[in-house]
Amino acid sequence: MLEKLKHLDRRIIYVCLALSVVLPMLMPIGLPVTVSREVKSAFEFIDKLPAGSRVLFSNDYDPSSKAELYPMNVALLAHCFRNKIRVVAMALWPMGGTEMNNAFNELKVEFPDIRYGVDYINMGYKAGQSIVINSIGTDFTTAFPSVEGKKVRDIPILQDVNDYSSFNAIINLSAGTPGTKEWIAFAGTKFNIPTVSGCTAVSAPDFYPYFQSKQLFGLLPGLAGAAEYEYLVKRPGKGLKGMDAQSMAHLVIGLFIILGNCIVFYEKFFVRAK
Amino acid sequence: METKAGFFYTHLGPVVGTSIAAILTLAIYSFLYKDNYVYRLAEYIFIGVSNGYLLAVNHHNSLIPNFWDPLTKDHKYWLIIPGILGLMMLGRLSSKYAWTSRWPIAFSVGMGAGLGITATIMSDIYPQLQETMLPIMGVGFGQGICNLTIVVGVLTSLFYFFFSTEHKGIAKNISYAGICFLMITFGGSFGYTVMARISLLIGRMNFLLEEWLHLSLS
Repeated sequence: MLEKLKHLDRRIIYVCLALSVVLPMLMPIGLPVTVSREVKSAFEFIDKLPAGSRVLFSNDYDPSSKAELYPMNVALLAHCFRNKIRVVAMALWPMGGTEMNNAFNELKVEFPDIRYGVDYINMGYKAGQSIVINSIGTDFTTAFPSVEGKKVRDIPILQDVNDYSSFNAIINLSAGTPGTKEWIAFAGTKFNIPTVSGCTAVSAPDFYPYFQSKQLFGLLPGLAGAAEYEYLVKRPGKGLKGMDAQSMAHLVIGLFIILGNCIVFYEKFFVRAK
Repeated sequence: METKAGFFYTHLGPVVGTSIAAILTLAIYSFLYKDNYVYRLAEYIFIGVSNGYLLAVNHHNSLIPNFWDPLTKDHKYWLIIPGILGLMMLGRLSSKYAWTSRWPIAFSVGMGAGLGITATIMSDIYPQLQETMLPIMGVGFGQGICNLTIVVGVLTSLFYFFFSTEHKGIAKNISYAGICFLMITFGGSFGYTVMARISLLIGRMNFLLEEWLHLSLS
């Protein structure tokens, strides 16, 4: 028995893990969601922005991180539109602009009155990484002379945009480099503009110190962060839907770790002692 | 009347597209059973499509609006210089002209360092140092303990990487405390990594169950 457990086929673990994800999706348990300080801080900051504010929303991720970042993309946009906050979207990752378009399209039914070019705009992907972030701070029109063939000054939402002082906040969804670290370094701290980040869970530990030092006004870490934000904006989406599965999968992984350690300790203290 | 092409794009297209994506997802997951040709085919398709797409995106969103259009329409001839630097980067493809790529690399490294060093000092070093200099007294018992933990954690972790003295006696104990803090940090990072990977699995399962099989997930 002990030998069997010691050499447990990894595929059995995969099946257990797959079941722990699929079953709660088909039969939800409804585990409670507790809101963390950093997500609440992001929500409260955006909630307090006056109507008519303008935020720069940079989507720095691609489909490989969609599962984590797209739910918060939609939730953050919905919150902005609900509070009449104007959104200027851009992307430093090639597919970020497409994901932003998907999010806008998903929200069109819910917010039929928002007008493209007036209440929101998607400037799409801009090559140049941190150089783009830096140049927005110097002159917005240098970084974005035109959008979709139109001069920036001919687009209502961008008419009076000069630099970061024209924005009330930066919202960044980050899956790597360039991402939150660059936005904090080249925009948030340098030009003293409030920054809110949503990031993949892998990179979250790197960004907590920025929240601690108040360089980030809020942080949404991974799918859990998205679920908490959806809960706060009272708009259940893919984030909340995935939380039962996430919790059950963590439970299964935890049980396997405990089982593995029990076998090691048992062998060390009982089998070898004999 | 709807044309054949119209019918394909509105009705068949999404079904075919979703099915291809679902089959490729299953092909990738087949690696969990064992390495196989279906997995490799899906992997090669992914690499090929990603690179092809990136090339097209960079051509349309970067090369044309940032280089070609300003050069030919606005007559900004100084753009020839970065254009030549860009071409020199391709010198790496030939062993004879590989040296040409050093110039644009040197330019990029120099510019990156120039921009990055001040930004890093301003955003990472100075504010983070400031946040480590925390009051321990007069902030309430709970906050005091939190602040003390941060200060002790930073100092002991830094001491662990101080190799100019042998870690013996009291130094060994301080270094051990540093290892403990580092291990807790790595544990936290590992937990978040697990969460991230499970989130990706949830995303794919969500796609397979809801978008492909049309099972209603509440």
